[in-house]
Amino acid sequence: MPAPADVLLELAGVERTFPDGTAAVHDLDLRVCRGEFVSVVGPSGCGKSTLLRLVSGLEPATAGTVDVAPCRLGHVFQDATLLPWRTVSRNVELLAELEGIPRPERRQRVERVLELVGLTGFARARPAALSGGMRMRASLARSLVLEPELFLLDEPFGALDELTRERLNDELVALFTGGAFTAVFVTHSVAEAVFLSSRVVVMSPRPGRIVGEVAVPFPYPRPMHLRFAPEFGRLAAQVSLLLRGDTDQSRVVPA
Amino acid sequence: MTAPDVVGVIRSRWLPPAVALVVFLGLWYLVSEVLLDDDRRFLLPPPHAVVEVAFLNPANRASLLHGLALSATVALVGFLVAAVLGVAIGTAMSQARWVERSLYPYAVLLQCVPVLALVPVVGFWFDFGLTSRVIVTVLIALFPVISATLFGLQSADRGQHDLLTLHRASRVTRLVKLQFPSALPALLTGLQVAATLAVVGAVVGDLFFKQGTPGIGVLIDLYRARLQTEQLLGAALLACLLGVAAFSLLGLLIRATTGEWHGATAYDRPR
Repeated sequence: MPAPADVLLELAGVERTFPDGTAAVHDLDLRVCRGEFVSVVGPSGCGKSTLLRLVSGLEPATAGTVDVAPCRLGHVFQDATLLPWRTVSRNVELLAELEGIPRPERRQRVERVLELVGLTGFARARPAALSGGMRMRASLARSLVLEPELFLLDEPFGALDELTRERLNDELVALFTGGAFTAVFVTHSVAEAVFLSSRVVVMSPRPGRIVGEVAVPFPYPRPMHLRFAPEFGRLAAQVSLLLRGDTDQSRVVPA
Repeated sequence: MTAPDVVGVIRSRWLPPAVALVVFLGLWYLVSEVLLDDDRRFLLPPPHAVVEVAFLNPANRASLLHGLALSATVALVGFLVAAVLGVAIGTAMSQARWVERSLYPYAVLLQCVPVLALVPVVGFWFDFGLTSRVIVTVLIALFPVISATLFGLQSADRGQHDLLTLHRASRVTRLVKLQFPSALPALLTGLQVAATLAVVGAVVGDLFFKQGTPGIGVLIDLYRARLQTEQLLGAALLACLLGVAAFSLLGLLIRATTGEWHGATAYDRPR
Protein backbone atom coordinates (compact mmCIF):
# COMPACT_ATOMS: atom_id res chain seq x y z
CA MET A 1 0.00 0.00 0.00
CA PRO A 2 1.42 3.38 -0.97
CA ALA A 3 1.41 6.11 1.65
CA PRO A 4 -1.66 8.34 1.17
CA ALA A 5 0.57 11.32 0.48
CA ASP A 6 1.92 9.56 -2.60
CA VAL A 7 -1.49 9.06 -4.19
CA LEU A 8 -2.04 11.73 -6.82
CA LEU A 9 -5.23 10.43 -8.29
CA GLU A 10 -7.88 8.09 -7.06
CA LEU A 11 -11.06 7.08 -8.87
CA ALA A 12 -13.50 4.94 -6.93
CA GLY A 13 -16.68 3.43 -8.36
CA VAL A 14 -16.82 6.19 -10.98
CA GLU A 15 -19.63 6.21 -13.45
CA ARG A 16 -20.21 8.66 -16.25
CA THR A 17 -23.49 8.57 -18.12
CA PHE A 18 -24.02 11.14 -20.86
CA PRO A 19 -27.22 13.20 -20.95
CA ASP A 20 -28.45 11.01 -23.82
CA GLY A 21 -28.29 7.95 -21.54
CA THR A 22 -25.20 6.19 -22.89
CA ALA A 23 -22.83 5.06 -20.18
CA ALA A 24 -19.21 5.89 -21.05
CA VAL A 25 -17.56 4.39 -18.01
CA HIS A 26 -18.99 2.22 -15.29
CA ASP A 27 -17.66 1.22 -11.89
CA LEU A 28 -14.21 2.55 -12.63
CA ASP A 29 -11.47 2.19 -10.02
CA LEU A 30 -8.00 3.55 -10.59
CA ARG A 31 -5.25 4.78 -8.33
CA VAL A 32 -2.17 6.57 -9.62
CA CYS A 33 0.79 7.38 -7.39
CA ARG A 34 3.38 10.11 -7.74
CA GLY A 35 6.12 9.15 -10.20
CA GLU A 36 4.14 6.50 -12.04
CA PHE A 37 3.64 6.37 -15.79
CA VAL A 38 0.28 4.67 -16.21
CA SER A 39 -1.07 3.83 -19.65
CA VAL A 40 -4.74 3.13 -20.19
CA VAL A 41 -5.44 0.86 -23.17
CA GLY A 42 -8.79 -0.27 -24.41
CA PRO A 43 -10.87 -0.68 -27.56
CA SER A 44 -12.13 2.43 -29.37
CA GLY A 45 -15.01 4.12 -27.65
CA CYS A 46 -14.47 2.43 -24.29
CA GLY A 47 -14.36 5.69 -22.38
CA LYS A 48 -10.59 6.20 -22.16
CA SER A 49 -10.86 9.86 -23.11
CA THR A 50 -13.78 10.25 -20.73
CA LEU A 51 -11.56 8.94 -17.94
CA LEU A 52 -9.08 11.75 -18.55
CA ARG A 53 -11.83 14.34 -18.91
CA LEU A 54 -13.22 13.24 -15.55
CA VAL A 55 -9.80 13.66 -13.97
CA SER A 56 -9.25 17.15 -15.36
CA GLY A 57 -12.76 18.21 -14.47
CA LEU A 58 -13.98 18.76 -18.02
CA GLU A 59 -16.80 16.33 -17.30
CA PRO A 60 -18.55 15.52 -14.04
CA ALA A 61 -18.91 11.98 -12.73
CA THR A 62 -22.52 10.82 -12.43
CA ALA A 63 -21.59 8.50 -9.55
CA GLY A 64 -18.52 7.60 -7.50
CA THR A 65 -15.66 9.83 -6.48
CA VAL A 66 -12.81 11.42 -8.41
CA ASP A 67 -10.03 12.54 -6.08
CA VAL A 68 -7.18 14.50 -7.54
CA ALA A 69 -4.51 15.75 -5.14
CA PRO A 70 -3.96 19.48 -5.48
CA CYS A 71 -1.30 19.77 -8.16
CA ARG A 72 -0.54 21.37 -11.50
CA LEU A 73 -2.39 19.51 -14.20
CA GLY A 74 -1.52 19.18 -17.86
CA HIS A 75 -3.95 17.81 -20.44
CA VAL A 76 -2.84 17.04 -23.98
CA PHE A 77 -5.57 16.25 -26.47
CA GLN A 78 -5.78 13.86 -29.37
CA ASP A 79 -5.55 16.78 -31.80
CA ALA A 80 -2.82 19.32 -31.35
CA THR A 81 -5.54 22.05 -30.97
CA LEU A 82 -3.03 24.77 -31.83
CA LEU A 83 -4.40 28.19 -32.69
CA PRO A 84 -3.66 28.61 -36.40
CA TRP A 85 -3.20 32.39 -36.19
CA ARG A 86 -0.46 32.16 -33.57
CA THR A 87 3.13 31.23 -34.27
CA VAL A 88 4.53 28.14 -32.58
CA SER A 89 6.12 30.13 -29.76
CA ARG A 90 2.93 32.18 -29.20
CA ASN A 91 0.95 28.93 -29.12
CA VAL A 92 3.30 27.44 -26.58
CA GLU A 93 2.93 30.62 -24.56
CA LEU A 94 -0.88 30.45 -24.45
CA LEU A 95 -1.49 28.49 -21.26
CA ALA A 96 1.17 30.44 -19.38
CA GLU A 97 -0.68 33.57 -20.49
CA LEU A 98 -3.98 32.21 -19.18
CA GLU A 99 -2.33 31.38 -15.88
CA GLY A 100 -1.08 34.93 -15.55
CA ILE A 101 2.64 34.19 -15.60
CA PRO A 102 4.47 37.47 -16.26
CA ARG A 103 5.77 37.98 -19.76
CA PRO A 104 9.56 37.82 -19.20
CA GLU A 105 9.26 34.53 -17.35
CA ARG A 106 6.81 33.22 -19.93
CA ARG A 107 9.28 33.92 -22.69
CA GLN A 108 12.07 32.16 -20.82
CA ARG A 109 9.94 29.10 -20.22
CA VAL A 110 8.81 28.98 -23.85
CA GLU A 111 12.37 29.09 -25.05
CA ARG A 112 13.33 26.29 -22.68
CA VAL A 113 10.50 23.90 -23.63
CA LEU A 114 10.88 24.60 -27.34
CA GLU A 115 14.44 23.41 -27.00
CA LEU A 116 13.24 20.42 -24.99
CA VAL A 117 10.91 19.27 -27.78
CA GLY A 118 13.29 20.25 -30.57
CA LEU A 119 11.24 23.07 -32.09
CA THR A 120 13.60 25.99 -31.49
CA GLY A 121 14.08 26.51 -35.20
CA PHE A 122 10.33 26.69 -35.77
CA ALA A 123 9.42 29.20 -33.07
CA ARG A 124 8.15 31.70 -35.62
CA ALA A 125 6.40 29.23 -37.94
CA ARG A 126 2.63 28.95 -38.06
CA PRO A 127 1.02 25.55 -37.33
CA ALA A 128 -0.05 25.16 -40.97
CA ALA A 129 3.60 24.98 -41.95
CA LEU A 130 4.35 22.11 -39.55
CA SER A 131 4.10 18.34 -39.97
CA GLY A 132 1.71 16.40 -37.74
CA GLY A 133 4.56 15.26 -35.51
CA MET A 134 5.84 18.79 -35.06
CA ARG A 135 2.37 20.05 -34.22
CA MET A 136 2.10 17.43 -31.53
CA ARG A 137 5.49 18.46 -30.16
CA ALA A 138 4.23 22.02 -29.97
CA SER A 139 1.11 20.83 -28.19
CA LEU A 140 3.24 18.92 -25.65
CA ALA A 141 5.45 21.96 -25.20
CA ARG A 142 2.40 24.14 -24.51
CA SER A 143 1.51 21.93 -21.53
CA LEU A 144 5.11 21.48 -20.38
CA VAL A 145 5.45 25.24 -20.02
CA LEU A 146 3.32 25.01 -16.88
CA GLU A 147 5.52 22.24 -15.48
CA PRO A 148 2.64 19.84 -14.82
CA GLU A 149 2.83 17.41 -11.93
CA LEU A 150 0.05 15.24 -13.29
CA PHE A 151 0.26 14.95 -17.07
CA LEU A 152 -2.82 13.58 -18.84
CA LEU A 153 -2.18 12.55 -22.43
CA ASP A 154 -5.14 11.56 -24.57
CA GLU A 155 -3.85 9.44 -27.44
CA PRO A 156 -1.53 12.25 -28.47
CA PHE A 157 0.31 10.24 -31.14
CA GLY A 158 -2.69 8.35 -32.51
CA ALA A 159 -2.80 10.24 -35.78
CA LEU A 160 0.91 9.95 -36.53
CA ASP A 161 2.78 7.48 -38.69
CA GLU A 162 4.59 4.62 -36.97
CA LEU A 163 8.07 6.08 -37.33
CA THR A 164 7.14 9.49 -35.96
CA ARG A 165 5.18 7.88 -33.19
CA GLU A 166 8.15 5.78 -32.05
CA ARG A 167 10.43 8.78 -32.16
CA LEU A 168 8.02 10.81 -30.06
CA ASN A 169 7.68 7.87 -27.66
CA ASP A 170 11.46 7.91 -27.22
CA GLU A 171 11.32 11.65 -26.57
CA LEU A 172 8.46 11.30 -24.11
CA VAL A 173 10.38 8.65 -22.17
CA ALA A 174 13.35 11.03 -22.03
CA LEU A 175 11.09 13.84 -20.82
CA PHE A 176 9.57 11.59 -18.19
CA THR A 177 12.97 10.39 -17.03
CA GLY A 178 14.32 13.90 -16.71
CA GLY A 179 11.14 15.51 -15.50
CA ALA A 180 9.18 15.37 -12.32
CA PHE A 181 5.73 14.50 -13.58
CA THR A 182 3.33 11.63 -13.20
CA ALA A 183 1.63 10.56 -16.40
CA VAL A 184 -1.67 9.00 -17.35
CA PHE A 185 -1.45 8.10 -21.02
CA VAL A 186 -4.39 6.90 -23.08
CA THR A 187 -3.68 4.87 -26.21
CA HIS A 188 -4.90 1.89 -28.15
CA SER A 189 -1.44 0.83 -29.16
CA VAL A 190 -0.21 -1.99 -26.94
CA ALA A 191 3.45 -1.54 -27.92
CA GLU A 192 3.32 2.15 -27.16
CA ALA A 193 1.73 1.51 -23.76
CA VAL A 194 4.32 -1.09 -22.74
CA PHE A 195 7.25 0.97 -23.98
CA LEU A 196 6.23 4.11 -22.10
CA SER A 197 4.68 2.88 -18.89
CA SER A 198 5.55 1.62 -15.49
CA ARG A 199 2.05 0.14 -15.40
CA VAL A 200 -0.53 -0.62 -18.08
CA VAL A 201 -4.21 -0.81 -17.18
CA VAL A 202 -6.67 -2.41 -19.57
CA MET A 203 -10.25 -1.28 -20.04
CA SER A 204 -13.25 -3.27 -21.23
CA PRO A 205 -15.47 -2.17 -24.14
CA ARG A 206 -18.10 0.47 -23.36
CA PRO A 207 -19.18 1.09 -20.69
CA GLY A 208 -15.52 0.94 -19.76
CA ARG A 209 -14.10 -0.36 -16.55
CA ILE A 210 -10.68 -1.66 -15.63
CA VAL A 211 -10.36 -5.36 -16.31
CA GLY A 212 -6.72 -5.92 -15.51
CA GLU A 213 -3.30 -4.45 -15.26
CA VAL A 214 0.27 -5.35 -16.12
CA ALA A 215 3.29 -3.93 -14.32
CA VAL A 216 6.21 -3.05 -16.59
CA PRO A 217 9.38 -3.35 -14.50
CA PHE A 218 11.94 -1.89 -16.96
CA PRO A 219 13.91 1.00 -15.45
CA TYR A 220 13.98 4.46 -17.03
CA PRO A 221 15.51 5.79 -19.21
CA ARG A 222 14.45 3.16 -21.72
CA PRO A 223 16.60 2.59 -24.79
CA MET A 224 14.76 2.36 -28.10
CA HIS A 225 15.91 -1.25 -28.65
CA LEU A 226 13.98 -2.30 -25.55
CA ARG A 227 11.14 -2.83 -28.04
CA PHE A 228 12.96 -5.91 -29.40
CA ALA A 229 13.58 -7.57 -26.03
CA PRO A 230 11.79 -10.89 -25.44
CA GLU A 231 10.50 -9.68 -22.07
CA PHE A 232 8.93 -6.68 -23.85
CA GLY A 233 7.11 -9.05 -26.19
CA ARG A 234 5.90 -11.15 -23.29
CA LEU A 235 4.43 -8.11 -21.50
CA ALA A 236 2.82 -6.87 -24.72
CA ALA A 237 1.25 -10.31 -25.19
CA GLN A 238 -0.16 -10.15 -21.66
CA VAL A 239 -1.77 -6.79 -22.37
CA SER A 240 -3.14 -8.02 -25.71
CA LEU A 241 -4.76 -11.03 -24.08
CA LEU A 242 -6.38 -8.84 -21.44
CA LEU A 243 -7.67 -6.59 -24.21
CA ARG A 244 -9.33 -9.60 -25.83
CA GLY A 245 -10.94 -10.50 -22.54
CA ASP A 246 -8.73 -13.57 -22.20
CA THR A 247 -7.66 -14.03 -18.60
CA ASP A 248 -5.80 -17.31 -19.12
CA GLN A 249 -2.28 -15.94 -18.82
CA SER A 250 -0.79 -19.42 -19.30
CA ARG A 251 -1.02 -18.77 -23.04
CA VAL A 252 1.83 -16.33 -22.66
CA VAL A 253 5.05 -18.25 -23.11
CA PRO A 254 7.31 -17.50 -20.15
CA ALA A 255 10.51 -15.69 -21.01
CA MET B 1 10.65 38.55 -60.80
CA THR B 2 12.40 37.48 -63.98
CA ALA B 3 11.16 38.31 -67.45
CA PRO B 4 9.59 34.90 -68.23
CA ASP B 5 7.78 35.14 -64.87
CA VAL B 6 6.21 38.44 -65.85
CA VAL B 7 5.11 37.00 -69.17
CA GLY B 8 3.68 33.97 -67.37
CA VAL B 9 1.76 36.09 -64.88
CA ILE B 10 0.36 38.30 -67.64
CA ARG B 11 -0.65 35.27 -69.65
CA SER B 12 -2.29 33.37 -66.81
CA ARG B 13 -3.81 36.22 -64.78
CA TRP B 14 -4.49 39.14 -67.08
CA LEU B 15 -4.99 37.64 -70.50
CA PRO B 16 -8.28 35.77 -69.86
CA PRO B 17 -10.20 38.76 -68.44
CA ALA B 18 -8.71 41.02 -71.12
CA VAL B 19 -9.94 38.70 -73.86
CA ALA B 20 -13.36 38.56 -72.20
CA LEU B 21 -13.48 42.37 -72.13
CA VAL B 22 -12.59 42.65 -75.80
CA VAL B 23 -15.30 40.11 -76.69
CA PHE B 24 -17.80 42.00 -74.52
CA LEU B 25 -16.97 45.37 -76.14
CA GLY B 26 -17.17 43.73 -79.57
CA LEU B 27 -20.69 42.45 -78.83
CA TRP B 28 -21.65 45.88 -77.52
CA TYR B 29 -20.48 47.55 -80.76
CA LEU B 30 -22.22 44.86 -82.78
CA VAL B 31 -25.54 45.60 -81.08
CA SER B 32 -25.34 49.39 -81.15
CA GLU B 33 -23.72 49.94 -84.57
CA VAL B 34 -25.04 47.01 -86.60
CA LEU B 35 -28.26 45.73 -85.08
CA LEU B 36 -29.79 49.04 -83.98
CA ASP B 37 -31.11 51.57 -86.51
CA ASP B 38 -29.81 55.12 -86.25
CA ASP B 39 -33.01 56.40 -84.70
CA ARG B 40 -32.97 53.68 -82.04
CA ARG B 41 -29.28 53.88 -81.21
CA PHE B 42 -30.13 55.81 -78.02
CA LEU B 43 -31.18 52.44 -76.53
CA LEU B 44 -27.56 51.32 -76.47
CA PRO B 45 -25.04 53.95 -77.50
CA PRO B 46 -21.58 52.57 -78.37
CA PRO B 47 -18.86 52.53 -75.67
CA HIS B 48 -16.89 55.48 -77.08
CA ALA B 49 -20.05 57.62 -76.98
CA VAL B 50 -20.56 56.73 -73.31
CA VAL B 51 -16.99 57.77 -72.51
CA GLU B 52 -17.28 60.95 -74.57
CA VAL B 53 -20.60 62.18 -73.22
CA ALA B 54 -20.46 60.98 -69.64
CA PHE B 55 -16.79 61.39 -68.78
CA LEU B 56 -15.12 63.73 -71.29
CA ASN B 57 -17.75 66.46 -71.14
CA PRO B 58 -16.63 68.58 -68.14
CA ALA B 59 -20.12 69.53 -66.92
CA ASN B 60 -21.47 65.97 -67.15
CA ARG B 61 -18.35 64.59 -65.54
CA ALA B 62 -18.60 67.06 -62.65
CA SER B 63 -22.18 66.12 -61.82
CA LEU B 64 -21.40 62.38 -62.07
CA LEU B 65 -18.34 62.65 -59.83
CA HIS B 66 -20.27 64.76 -57.38
CA GLY B 67 -23.00 62.13 -57.25
CA LEU B 68 -20.37 59.43 -56.88
CA ALA B 69 -18.78 61.24 -53.92
CA LEU B 70 -22.12 61.51 -52.16
CA SER B 71 -23.04 57.86 -52.76
CA ALA B 72 -19.59 56.73 -51.70
CA THR B 73 -19.97 58.68 -48.45
CA VAL B 74 -23.38 57.11 -47.81
CA ALA B 75 -22.04 53.64 -48.60
CA LEU B 76 -18.98 54.10 -46.37
CA VAL B 77 -20.91 55.47 -43.37
CA GLY B 78 -23.64 52.85 -43.82
CA PHE B 79 -21.07 50.09 -44.07
CA LEU B 80 -19.26 51.22 -40.92
CA VAL B 81 -22.51 51.46 -38.95
CA ALA B 82 -23.63 48.03 -40.23
CA ALA B 83 -20.22 46.55 -39.34
CA VAL B 84 -20.19 47.86 -35.77
CA LEU B 85 -23.85 47.08 -35.15
CA GLY B 86 -23.67 43.67 -36.83
CA VAL B 87 -20.59 42.56 -34.88
CA ALA B 88 -22.18 43.78 -31.63
CA ILE B 89 -25.48 41.98 -32.26
CA GLY B 90 -23.74 38.82 -33.48
CA THR B 91 -21.49 38.80 -30.41
CA ALA B 92 -24.44 39.29 -28.06
CA MET B 93 -26.20 36.38 -29.76
CA SER B 94 -23.13 34.17 -29.35
CA GLN B 95 -22.99 34.88 -25.63
CA ALA B 96 -26.45 33.70 -24.68
CA ARG B 97 -28.78 31.25 -26.31
CA TRP B 98 -31.82 33.35 -25.33
CA VAL B 99 -30.47 36.45 -27.09
CA GLU B 100 -29.91 34.41 -30.24
CA ARG B 101 -33.38 32.86 -29.99
CA SER B 102 -35.08 36.21 -29.50
CA LEU B 103 -33.17 38.24 -32.08
CA TYR B 104 -32.17 35.93 -34.92
CA PRO B 105 -35.68 35.46 -36.40
CA TYR B 106 -36.02 39.23 -36.66
CA ALA B 107 -32.62 39.57 -38.23
CA VAL B 108 -33.77 37.11 -40.90
CA LEU B 109 -37.01 39.06 -41.25
CA LEU B 110 -35.02 42.25 -41.69
CA GLN B 111 -33.10 40.60 -44.51
CA CYS B 112 -36.31 39.46 -46.21
CA VAL B 113 -38.35 42.64 -45.94
CA PRO B 114 -38.37 44.51 -49.24
CA VAL B 115 -36.35 47.56 -48.27
CA LEU B 116 -37.97 49.55 -51.06
CA ALA B 117 -41.24 49.35 -49.16
CA LEU B 118 -39.55 50.91 -46.16
CA VAL B 119 -37.88 53.72 -48.09
CA PRO B 120 -40.87 56.11 -47.94
CA VAL B 121 -41.39 55.42 -44.22
CA VAL B 122 -37.72 56.08 -43.49
CA GLY B 123 -38.07 59.26 -45.51
CA PHE B 124 -41.07 60.47 -43.49
CA TRP B 125 -39.30 59.89 -40.22
CA PHE B 126 -35.77 60.98 -40.93
CA ASP B 127 -36.27 63.40 -43.79
CA PHE B 128 -34.65 62.90 -47.16
CA GLY B 129 -31.07 63.74 -46.30
CA LEU B 130 -27.94 61.78 -45.52
CA THR B 131 -29.42 60.09 -42.43
CA SER B 132 -32.19 58.34 -44.31
CA ARG B 133 -29.84 57.16 -47.03
CA VAL B 134 -27.48 55.75 -44.43
CA ILE B 135 -30.36 53.99 -42.66
CA VAL B 136 -31.45 52.27 -45.87
CA THR B 137 -27.86 51.23 -46.51
CA VAL B 138 -27.56 49.79 -43.00
CA LEU B 139 -30.83 47.87 -43.41
CA ILE B 140 -29.47 46.21 -46.52
CA ALA B 141 -25.92 45.53 -45.30
CA LEU B 142 -26.57 44.49 -41.69
CA PHE B 143 -27.67 40.87 -41.95
CA PRO B 144 -24.57 39.37 -43.56
CA VAL B 145 -22.47 40.91 -40.78
CA ILE B 146 -24.69 39.49 -38.03
CA SER B 147 -24.78 36.00 -39.47
CA ALA B 148 -21.07 35.94 -40.32
CA THR B 149 -20.18 37.11 -36.80
CA LEU B 150 -22.40 34.52 -35.18
CA PHE B 151 -21.20 31.72 -37.42
CA GLY B 152 -17.58 32.77 -36.99
CA LEU B 153 -17.73 32.98 -33.20
CA GLN B 154 -19.10 29.45 -33.09
CA SER B 155 -16.39 28.05 -35.34
CA ALA B 156 -13.66 27.43 -32.74
CA ASP B 157 -13.31 23.71 -32.17
CA ARG B 158 -14.19 21.87 -29.01
CA GLY B 159 -10.62 20.97 -28.12
CA GLN B 160 -9.60 24.63 -28.17
CA HIS B 161 -12.55 25.50 -25.96
CA ASP B 162 -11.66 22.67 -23.57
CA LEU B 163 -8.15 24.02 -23.32
CA LEU B 164 -9.46 27.40 -22.18
CA THR B 165 -11.98 25.78 -19.84
CA LEU B 166 -9.16 23.82 -18.16
CA HIS B 167 -7.43 27.06 -17.37
CA ARG B 168 -10.58 28.80 -16.16
CA ALA B 169 -10.55 31.43 -18.89
CA SER B 170 -13.22 34.12 -18.46
CA ARG B 171 -15.81 34.90 -21.11
CA VAL B 172 -13.88 37.94 -22.24
CA THR B 173 -10.59 36.03 -22.43
CA ARG B 174 -12.32 33.32 -24.42
CA LEU B 175 -13.71 35.89 -26.84
CA VAL B 176 -10.46 37.78 -27.24
CA LYS B 177 -7.99 34.89 -27.37
CA LEU B 178 -10.07 32.26 -29.13
CA GLN B 179 -13.43 33.20 -30.57
CA PHE B 180 -12.72 36.50 -32.32
CA PRO B 181 -9.55 35.28 -34.02
CA SER B 182 -11.30 32.09 -35.17
CA ALA B 183 -14.23 34.20 -36.35
CA LEU B 184 -12.03 36.48 -38.41
CA PRO B 185 -12.10 34.61 -41.75
CA ALA B 186 -15.90 34.24 -41.70
CA LEU B 187 -16.41 37.73 -40.31
CA LEU B 188 -14.26 39.37 -42.98
CA THR B 189 -16.02 37.46 -45.75
CA GLY B 190 -19.32 38.70 -44.31
CA LEU B 191 -17.97 42.24 -44.24
CA GLN B 192 -16.89 41.89 -47.86
CA VAL B 193 -20.44 40.94 -48.84
CA ALA B 194 -21.76 43.78 -46.68
CA ALA B 195 -19.44 46.28 -48.37
CA THR B 196 -20.82 45.52 -51.84
CA LEU B 197 -24.36 45.53 -50.46
CA ALA B 198 -23.70 48.93 -48.87
CA VAL B 199 -22.93 50.31 -52.35
CA VAL B 200 -26.12 48.77 -53.70
CA GLY B 201 -28.03 50.16 -50.71
CA ALA B 202 -26.60 53.65 -51.18
CA VAL B 203 -27.57 53.74 -54.86
CA VAL B 204 -30.97 52.09 -54.47
CA GLY B 205 -31.94 54.24 -51.47
CA ASP B 206 -30.88 57.33 -53.36
CA LEU B 207 -32.80 56.27 -56.46
CA PHE B 208 -36.03 55.97 -54.51
CA PHE B 209 -35.65 59.10 -52.41
CA LYS B 210 -35.45 61.25 -55.53
CA GLN B 211 -34.95 64.20 -53.22
CA GLY B 212 -32.10 65.98 -51.50
CA THR B 213 -28.59 66.27 -52.88
CA PRO B 214 -28.41 63.96 -55.90
CA GLY B 215 -26.22 60.88 -55.49
CA ILE B 216 -25.64 58.30 -58.21
CA GLY B 217 -29.18 56.93 -57.70
CA VAL B 218 -30.95 60.24 -58.25
CA LEU B 219 -28.76 60.88 -61.31
CA ILE B 220 -29.62 57.46 -62.74
CA ASP B 221 -33.31 58.25 -62.36
CA LEU B 222 -32.82 61.65 -63.96
CA TYR B 223 -30.92 60.31 -66.97
CA ARG B 224 -33.50 57.57 -67.39
CA ALA B 225 -36.30 60.13 -67.50
CA ARG B 226 -34.40 62.26 -70.04
CA LEU B 227 -33.35 59.26 -72.15
CA GLN B 228 -29.70 60.26 -71.67
CA THR B 229 -28.47 56.71 -72.08
CA GLU B 230 -24.77 57.62 -72.34
CA GLN B 231 -24.83 59.26 -68.93
CA LEU B 232 -27.08 56.53 -67.53
CA LEU B 233 -24.54 53.89 -68.49
CA GLY B 234 -21.73 56.10 -67.22
CA ALA B 235 -23.45 56.37 -63.84
CA ALA B 236 -24.03 52.62 -63.72
CA LEU B 237 -20.37 52.05 -64.54
CA LEU B 238 -19.26 54.35 -61.72
CA ALA B 239 -21.60 52.65 -59.21
CA CYS B 240 -20.21 49.34 -60.32
CA LEU B 241 -16.61 50.50 -59.93
CA LEU B 242 -17.45 51.76 -56.45
CA GLY B 243 -18.72 48.28 -55.53
CA VAL B 244 -15.63 46.62 -56.98
CA ALA B 245 -13.42 49.05 -55.06
CA ALA B 246 -15.24 48.23 -51.81
CA PHE B 247 -14.90 44.50 -52.52
CA SER B 248 -11.19 44.77 -53.35
CA LEU B 249 -10.37 46.89 -50.30
CA LEU B 250 -11.94 44.27 -48.05
CA GLY B 251 -10.06 41.61 -50.02
CA LEU B 252 -6.78 43.37 -49.20
CA LEU B 253 -7.80 43.53 -45.55
CA ILE B 254 -8.55 39.80 -45.57
CA ARG B 255 -5.16 38.97 -47.01
CA ALA B 256 -3.39 41.27 -44.61
CA THR B 257 -5.07 39.86 -41.50
CA THR B 258 -5.68 36.18 -42.18
CA GLY B 259 -3.62 35.39 -45.29
CA GLU B 260 -0.73 34.20 -43.11
CA TRP B 261 -2.64 31.40 -41.48
CA HIS B 262 -6.02 30.82 -43.07
CA GLY B 263 -6.95 29.08 -46.29
CA ALA B 264 -4.95 27.55 -49.08
CA THR B 265 -2.44 30.39 -49.41
CA ALA B 266 -1.19 29.72 -45.87
CA TYR B 267 0.11 26.34 -47.03
CA ASP B 268 1.86 27.62 -50.14
CA ARG B 269 4.25 29.86 -48.27
CA PRO B 270 7.87 28.82 -48.11
CA ARG B 271 8.64 27.27 -44.77
